[in-house]
Amino acid sequence: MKPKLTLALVTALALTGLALPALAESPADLNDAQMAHVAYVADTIDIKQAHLALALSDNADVRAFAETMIADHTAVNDQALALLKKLGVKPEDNFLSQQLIAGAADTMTKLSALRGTDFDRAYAANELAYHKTVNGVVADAFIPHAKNAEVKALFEAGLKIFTAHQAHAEMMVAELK
Amino acid sequence: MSQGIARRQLLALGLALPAFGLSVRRGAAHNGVIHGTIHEVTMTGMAFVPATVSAAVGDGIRWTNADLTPHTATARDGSWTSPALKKGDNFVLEVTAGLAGDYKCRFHPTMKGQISVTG
Repeated sequence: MKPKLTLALVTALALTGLALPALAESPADLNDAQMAHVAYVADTIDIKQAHLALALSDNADVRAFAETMIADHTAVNDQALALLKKLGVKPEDNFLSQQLIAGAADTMTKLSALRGTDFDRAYAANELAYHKTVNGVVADAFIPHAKNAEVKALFEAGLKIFTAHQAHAEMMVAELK
Repeated sequence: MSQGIARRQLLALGLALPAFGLSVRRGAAHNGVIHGTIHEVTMTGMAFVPATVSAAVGDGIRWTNADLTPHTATARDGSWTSPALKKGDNFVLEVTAGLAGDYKCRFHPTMKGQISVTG
């Protein structure tokens, strides 16, 4: 039976501008090399947005969160690249990576136009929504369907990290209200 | 560095022997020795395991980071902290009477731990 995205996940993707291009393509259909590509892209997007936060925000909590995003997502990406090298797997571009990239470009444009508290609130809200979305994909599609045990284990480790980020972002959103 | 940190003799990173460490006092480093039990806490899965440590004065607590991401062990009241620990790093803290209380990871506020001091 072909796995399907949950309604919650589809809704989350739509809310964050990551609408799926076609029902025939779902994250659960991706192979390990494509999942790895998505994960790398997702990490890189969050790192770029964290750098934007460091450039634009004077809020100490927001800046600390951004520093953590850079350190953590860089660490996960380094580990992922090392694993792919060990496995001799080359990441493969795919529809979901492209959707993430397109959504991120839009987000960067919107965030870049904001300053002060408006930026901080928008950045925090986006981090919360983004982590919810990506965590949903990892939990519902990647972990259940990754073929390689080491790739699956890395997704499981990553999900714990990103779930903590989601909770941290939730705290930040509440504090900035 | 605060007097609180000095009193608690923060013992440093990466030393394999449980009874020896590099203590940090008022910004200067010197060799320190712990004669009591060393209690192990692993930073894993974005949590302190075990989350609660019960230790006697003179014991040591050693935090070891097994996660991919950097972590700290930092007193909730800010009176002591480890440096940022990368995967595989460890940090040893000598237990004193005033050490009891909550702590967290400075980078990941959802990571929480507690130290209770006996004796």
